[in-house]
Amino acid sequence: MRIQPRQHLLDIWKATVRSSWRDGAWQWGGRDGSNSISDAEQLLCILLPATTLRSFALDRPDATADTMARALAPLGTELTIPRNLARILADYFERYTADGRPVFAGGSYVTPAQQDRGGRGREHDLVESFAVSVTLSLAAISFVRVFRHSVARDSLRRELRSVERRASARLTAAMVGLLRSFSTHVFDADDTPGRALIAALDQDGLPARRVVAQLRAELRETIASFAEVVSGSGQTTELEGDHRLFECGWSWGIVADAPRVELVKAEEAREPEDAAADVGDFIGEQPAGVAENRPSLYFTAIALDAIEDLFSERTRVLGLLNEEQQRLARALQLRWDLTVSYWSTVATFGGTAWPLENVPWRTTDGQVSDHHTLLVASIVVKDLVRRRGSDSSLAQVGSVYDKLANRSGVLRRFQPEDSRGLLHPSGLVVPLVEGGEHAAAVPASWAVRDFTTFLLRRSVVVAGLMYDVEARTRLLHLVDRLWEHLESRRLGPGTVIGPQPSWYHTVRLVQCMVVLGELLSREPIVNDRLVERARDLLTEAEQLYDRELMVGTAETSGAVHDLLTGIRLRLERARSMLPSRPGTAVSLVASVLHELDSLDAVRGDDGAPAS
Amino acid sequence: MIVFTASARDGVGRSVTCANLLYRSALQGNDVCHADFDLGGRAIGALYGLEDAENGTMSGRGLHRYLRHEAAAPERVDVWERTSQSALRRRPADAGRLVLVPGDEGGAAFTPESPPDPRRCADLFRALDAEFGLCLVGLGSGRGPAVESILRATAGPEMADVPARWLVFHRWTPQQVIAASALVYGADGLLASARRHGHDEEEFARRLGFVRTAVMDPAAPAQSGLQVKQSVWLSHLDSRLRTLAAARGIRRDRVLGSVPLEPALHWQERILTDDDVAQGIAGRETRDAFDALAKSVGDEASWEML
Repeated sequence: MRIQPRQHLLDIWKATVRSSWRDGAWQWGGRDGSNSISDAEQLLCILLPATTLRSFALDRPDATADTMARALAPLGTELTIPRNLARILADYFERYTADGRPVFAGGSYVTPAQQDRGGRGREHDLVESFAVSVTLSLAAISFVRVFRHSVARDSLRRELRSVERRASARLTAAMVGLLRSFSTHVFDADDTPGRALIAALDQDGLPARRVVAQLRAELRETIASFAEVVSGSGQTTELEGDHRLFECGWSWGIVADAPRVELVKAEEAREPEDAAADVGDFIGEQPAGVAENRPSLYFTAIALDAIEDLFSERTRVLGLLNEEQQRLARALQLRWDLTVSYWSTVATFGGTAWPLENVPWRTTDGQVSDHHTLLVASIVVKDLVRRRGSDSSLAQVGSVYDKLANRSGVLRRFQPEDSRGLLHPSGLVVPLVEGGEHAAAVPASWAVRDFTTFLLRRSVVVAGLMYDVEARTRLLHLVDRLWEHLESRRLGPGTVIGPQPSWYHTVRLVQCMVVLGELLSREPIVNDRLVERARDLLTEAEQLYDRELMVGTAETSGAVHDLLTGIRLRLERARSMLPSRPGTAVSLVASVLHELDSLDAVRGDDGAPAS
Repeated sequence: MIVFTASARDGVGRSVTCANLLYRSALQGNDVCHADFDLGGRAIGALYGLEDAENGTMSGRGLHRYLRHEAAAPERVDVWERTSQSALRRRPADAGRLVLVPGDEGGAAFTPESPPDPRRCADLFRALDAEFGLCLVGLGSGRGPAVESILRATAGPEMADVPARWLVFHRWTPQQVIAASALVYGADGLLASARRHGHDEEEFARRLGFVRTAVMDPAAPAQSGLQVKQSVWLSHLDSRLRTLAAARGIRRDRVLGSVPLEPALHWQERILTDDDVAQGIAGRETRDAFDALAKSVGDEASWEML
C-alpha cells in the first residue's frame, strides 16, 4: 500500500497537538468554529487511534510506546498525557451540558434557515452529534477506566471517576436521542414517494403492482419486526395493507412528537458520584422533537455506524455499558437490524443487477446524487457482513465504489478549472426539514463534504472483508488512488487558505487511517493452493535433510554442523508458518533446498577416482 | 533531601551512578553529599579519584567509628579539592559543594548483633539534610544489617521531619527486574521490613523509586554496532520487559531515571566529565542521562505517584 497509516496518524497527532494545545490549555474549534460535533471530532483525532490501535495506546503509561509519547510531547510525558487528555474530556463534557442535560447542538456546522435570525436551527440536537458522542463517550470511558488502573493517587482517581460518569451520562443521552430520532415513513404506492421508490427499484417492464407485492414479500419479516418497536420514535401500525410502502432510518434530529424514553434509574443516579450511576445516568429533561418524521439517508448511515460501536466486540469485552445503556442498546440494535434489512433489500432488489448499481440513487423526496449511492452501498455492506455475504456480492459493491470514484472525478489529476463541483468539494446538502406546522419554508441545512474520505473508508472496509486476493487488490488499488487525491489537497505547511484546521475533514481522515491500520495489522489472507505447494516442498526438503544427517555430513566440520543447524531451524520455522503464511514457508524451504543441493552437487562426477 | 540507595545485587552500577548523579547535581549548583554506608563494601573514594581515601579514610574519623561512638563527628572530604582526577579539579564558579563522607579503611560491616546506634544515625542524617540540598546514602547490596539499621533509625520520632526517600537500582534485564521487585515488595522486602519497624507502608512506598542502569536502547547511537536482527530482538525484549516490570510493581511513575549502557563505565567506574564526552570517551546520551537523573531525583514532583 502507498498509504502509511502509522506515519500519517503520527503526523496528524503532532499537528493536532501543535494547533490545539497552546500555553498549557486546549483550544477548542477550527476553521468551522466550535460546537458539540467539531469539538468531539477534534478530541477524537487523538483519542480514536489511542483507543482502537494497540500500538497507539496511551492509557497504560508502562506500555506507551516512546514514539507515541514523543508525537504528543507538548501534552506531557507518557505519565501526564493521559491525565491531560482526561481533563480535556472533562472540559468537553462540561461545555456541552446545560442544566444537567447533555446538549447535542450542531452550532456553527449548521447553515441556518434564511429567516432564522435567532439561529434557532443551530440549537437543535442533531443525529450527527448523537453519533459522534457515542463514539467519543465509549472511547472516553474505556480510556479513563484503563488508565485508572495505573493511578494510585486518590485525587486523580476521583477525577477520572468523574470523567467516566460524565461520559456515561452523555452516552445515555445520545442513545436516548438516537432512539427518538428513528423514523418510519409510511406512504402509499401511488403517492409521490411511493412512485419514486418504485422507480428507484429499477425493474423495467414489471407492472408497479407486481413490484410492490414482491417488495412487500421480501420485507415480510422486517414488517413483522416493527411490532417490537415499542419505545422512542418510529413506532407504527400502518404497515398492513397491500399498497403500503415505507422507508425507515434516522431523521436529522429528534422527530417531532417523539415520545420520551422511560429511564428506570434516572432519578436514583442524580449525583455524578453516586454509586447508582452503575445502573443508569441522570440526563436531565428530554427535549421536545422538531425534526420531520422521515429518514435521511445521510443521517441513517451515520447513526448505523455509531450504533455498531455500541455492540462492537470491544464494547462488550470491556463492559463499557451500564444496565440502562444495555437496555437502550438492545432497542437501538432492533432499529439497526430493521434499517439494514430494509435498505439492503431495496438496494439489491430483483436479483443479479442491483438497483444500487444504477448510479445515481434516487431518494423518495426526489433527490438524485452519487452521494446517496455511496450511503446506500455502505448499508448494503453492513448487511453482507451480518449475513457473511459472498465475495462476489462484496465485489459487486466494490465495483459500485469504483464507478463512483470514476464518476466523481477524484481519480483524475486535479485541475484548477475543474467544474465538477456538485459533489466535490461543496458536497451534498441535506435540508433539516422540521415537522409540524411551524416548519420554516427554507429549512436550515447540513453540508456533507466528505465524499472522498467516506468512499475511501468504505472501500477499505469492503477490502478487509474479502477473501479473494485479486478483487481485494483491485479495491486496495482504488484506496491508494483515492488517497493520492486527498493528499494533493492536504493543507501543507505553505498553504495560504488559513492556519485553521478543519476537524471535520481531519477526523474523517483519522477514521480512514484507523480502519486501514486495523486491516494492515491482520495476518495476510491465506491462499490454499500455496499451502499445498508449501507442504509438498517441505516434505522433500525434510527428506533430503534427514538423508544428509543419516550419511553423517554434520560430522564433517564445525562449519557444516552450524549450516545444518541453521537448516533445521529454518525447516522448523517453515512448518510452523505453513498454515498462516504459506508464502513465507515456501521461501524458507526454497532456500533450504538450494543449500542442501549445493552440498550434494559437489559430490557429483568431478573426475576424481571413485574408488 | 536525603535518599537511601539500594540494589538487590552487586555490580548493578549503583555507586557509580550515584557518584555521577551527585557530580551533575553539584554542577547544577546544588550542595551535595555522598555518605558511604556500604561499610566494608566497595571503594567509593576511588570513584571520585580520592587517592588517600580509596577504600575509606585512614584518619580514624570515618563513618564506622562515628556510628560506634569512637569519633565525635565523621570526616568530610571535599571532592573538588582533594580529587586527583584533573577534570574534576576544575570546579566551575557556580557549582555547589561536592562532599564525600567516607567509611573507615578496614572498618568492619555492621552485624545484626552490633547495629549502629539509631540516634547517632538520626543525628547524622538530620545534620546532612540540613547542610546539603541532596544527600545520597549508599548502602550495600541486598538486605544487609545496614538496611535494617537504617529502617529502624528512620522510623523514630527523631527523623519525623526529615522524610527518607529510597532509590533502588537495577539493570534492565528480566532477572534484575525480578530481583529488584523482590527486594522492595517481597515477603522479606523493604516494604515489609519498613512496616515492621513502624513506618507507614503507603507513605514509604510513595517515597521509593527505581533507577534503571546499563539500559540498551536499540535506537541509541552507542548501539549502532548492533546487527539488524539483534536490534529487532532487543526492542521486542524491551517491550516485554516493560510489561514484566509493571506487573512487578516497578511502574513507570516509580522510575526516576534510566542510564544507558556505557562502555566507558564498564571498563572503569568513574565520574564522567564533559571532557570525556568531548574527547569521545563517553557517550553524550550517558552524560545527559546523569544530568536528567540529577534533576529528577532532586525534584520532589518527579517522585509523585500517578
